[in-house]
Amino acid sequence: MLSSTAALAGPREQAWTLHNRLASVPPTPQTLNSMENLIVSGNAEGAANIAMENPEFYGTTLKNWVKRWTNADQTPRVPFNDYVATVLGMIRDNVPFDQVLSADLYYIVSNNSGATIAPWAIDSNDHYEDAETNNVNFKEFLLQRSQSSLNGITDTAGVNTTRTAGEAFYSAGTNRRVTRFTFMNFLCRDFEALHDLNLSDYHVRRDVDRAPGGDSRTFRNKCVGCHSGQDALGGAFAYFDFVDGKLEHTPGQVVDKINANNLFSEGWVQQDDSWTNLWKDGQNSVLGWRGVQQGNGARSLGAMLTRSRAFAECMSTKVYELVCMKNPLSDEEKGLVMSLATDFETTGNYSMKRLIAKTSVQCMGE
Amino acid sequence: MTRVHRITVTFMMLLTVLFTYNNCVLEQKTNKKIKRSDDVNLNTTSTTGTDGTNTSTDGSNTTTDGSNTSTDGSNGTTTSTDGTNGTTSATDGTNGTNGGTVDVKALSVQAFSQTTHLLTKAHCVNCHGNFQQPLHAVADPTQAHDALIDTNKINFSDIPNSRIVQKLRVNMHQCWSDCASNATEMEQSIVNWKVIRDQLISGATSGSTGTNGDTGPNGAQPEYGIKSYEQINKTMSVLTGVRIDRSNIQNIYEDVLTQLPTDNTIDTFLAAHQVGVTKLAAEYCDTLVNDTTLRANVWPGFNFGATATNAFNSTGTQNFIVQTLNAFWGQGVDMSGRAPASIELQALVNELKVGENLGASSTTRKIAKGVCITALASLNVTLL
Repeated sequence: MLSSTAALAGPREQAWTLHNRLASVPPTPQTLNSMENLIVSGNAEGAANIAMENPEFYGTTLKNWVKRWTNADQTPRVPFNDYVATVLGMIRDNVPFDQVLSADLYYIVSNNSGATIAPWAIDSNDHYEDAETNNVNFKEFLLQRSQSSLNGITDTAGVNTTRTAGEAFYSAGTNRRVTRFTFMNFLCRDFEALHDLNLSDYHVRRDVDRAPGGDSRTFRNKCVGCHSGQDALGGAFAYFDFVDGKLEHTPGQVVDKINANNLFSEGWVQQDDSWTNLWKDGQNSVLGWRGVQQGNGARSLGAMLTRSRAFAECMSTKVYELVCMKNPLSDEEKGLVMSLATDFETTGNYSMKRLIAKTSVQCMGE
Repeated sequence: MTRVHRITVTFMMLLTVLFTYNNCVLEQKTNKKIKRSDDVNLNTTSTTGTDGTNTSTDGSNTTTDGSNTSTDGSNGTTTSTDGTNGTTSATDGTNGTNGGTVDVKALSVQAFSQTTHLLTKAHCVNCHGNFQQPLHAVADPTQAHDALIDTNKINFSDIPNSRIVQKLRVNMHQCWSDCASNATEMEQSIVNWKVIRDQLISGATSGSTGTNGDTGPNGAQPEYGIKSYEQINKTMSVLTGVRIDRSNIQNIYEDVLTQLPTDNTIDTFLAAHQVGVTKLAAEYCDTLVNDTTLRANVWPGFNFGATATNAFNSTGTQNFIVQTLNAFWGQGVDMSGRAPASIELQALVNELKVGENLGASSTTRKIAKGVCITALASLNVTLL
């Protein structure tokens, strides 16, 4: 417990707070009594688990939490989509969350929900949008599927190869967005935080101006700090593009936009979907990289990222912010988040439900 | 709808009283927990050395580059500056009790992320979040913060004359609705930025005077959040039993959707948000009180067909209020806070009787809706 920051509350107030924060809605009197009794008996996590059984834990709390990850504006005011459905389904089914960027998993809405919803389509979000509009119970009616069997992508990479990710992060541009938002959403770091001028620029692609505004110092002092690392990783997405409303995967064929805009002919030309982590050494080694640091394709990159310590800490931090309504700033709070991250990636086997339950009881008041 | 709105307008003043009460209670609770000094001047930042010396300065007459710190090495007092750049060291120099280090810029970024950054991300991102300098709408709060501070777009000493405000008010630059309103909104966000920043600095520096110097700035963080738009809608549905897919509920929800809070950050909760909450509560209560089945669940035994004189006599009023608060604020939850609320609601009932036909049962339902709206729109319902 965080005695220095906890609100003053008895077990009934704690149960009330816990339920509202986890399920977004107040408990029924019966549920409140059950949760209160568990808290009194010293089983606060049991009380949290009861609150997480409420359908609104998925239908409101988690849904709006994850929606922010699915668009460049990072707003929850977007329609329900396949990215969110996949995260919700993985959490509900206790799929180890370190697979979120590498699993060949996908979730669709059951036809048995009772609502009239559009059939799933590779190039449309109507299926998911209809489900949300009709208030479908996502706890009950999300069905797990093999992602590759639906979208035909052989290099499926969890949420990063969903249609929604395609629309948000692969459309136009040079696919750098998907790398950036993957870091922001799952490692809690934008590229500015990884800026490292000590790295070689050999992997910076040709479309990066080496003398912005006519001044090469700008490239050397600024641009290279991010591009050296991100361009080396971004090769993983060289076979992807968002075309005609769907994410296309062209194995063996680098999409044109990756090597377009030749501003510096001696720059890196991406020949395949290989990637390497140049941030593994130096200042960014603090992210706690583990295992192989180079490979091919989106799936292997996703697996490498979620193996890192930074992933566990990021998830722990995000959950703390979700259920505790504040950032972990004090040494005590930071220490708590670190210990929860350790539990998450060891004993917890990356169970997001366990992480949420364990975190929520730390700030329900005392 | 017309009837509901009339009721809403009638009760707005009293709602404000209750809202203020809730805010005061919240503030008191927060103050208790963060142990913040009551006499902190939000326009100043100060650090008290362990010898008790206290030096305060305001942001207008101190250095602004953030790089320097004016440390009184003899008594361990450190004065922070405008809090926008650099790091202020709150270290006791000579007396041996180790204070911590306060990263003023980090606190300013934190405050910015809860205030002005929300506005720029919402309305400026298409250009200033992408290619157009200054990049004050990019997702990274530090970068966006620096983009404004480093280019002097913010004047904390004269906020209305801040360049980013003037761009809206004078230049009518890319307003998202009415330029004057947008400028005021931007101006208010900067005021909030400054207030929150100073609170954070105050909390951090006062925390740094402890014996181990490791007390961080968390003390100034609220312990509560506010429910977001969908959470509020579903909460009201659960509490009243009125389904969210009823057409009248859907219509009013669509109307106020963008007026309701987007996220759970209570620091950014404004009166305009509360008005949206109240409008939604009014629709739920109108439906609830007119539905004989649903209202019997919330107020069992209450005779909605009786005259107001009989239904809202002394006992009836008290019972109605108790049932309302039990239904909406949780049975047996935070009972210590019920007494003042009950007094306010009784006063509300008395106010609502004035000038009304107390011999009519329609008046009974009007008063019931008034109490219902007040309790349902309160922070006890929307607080997380």
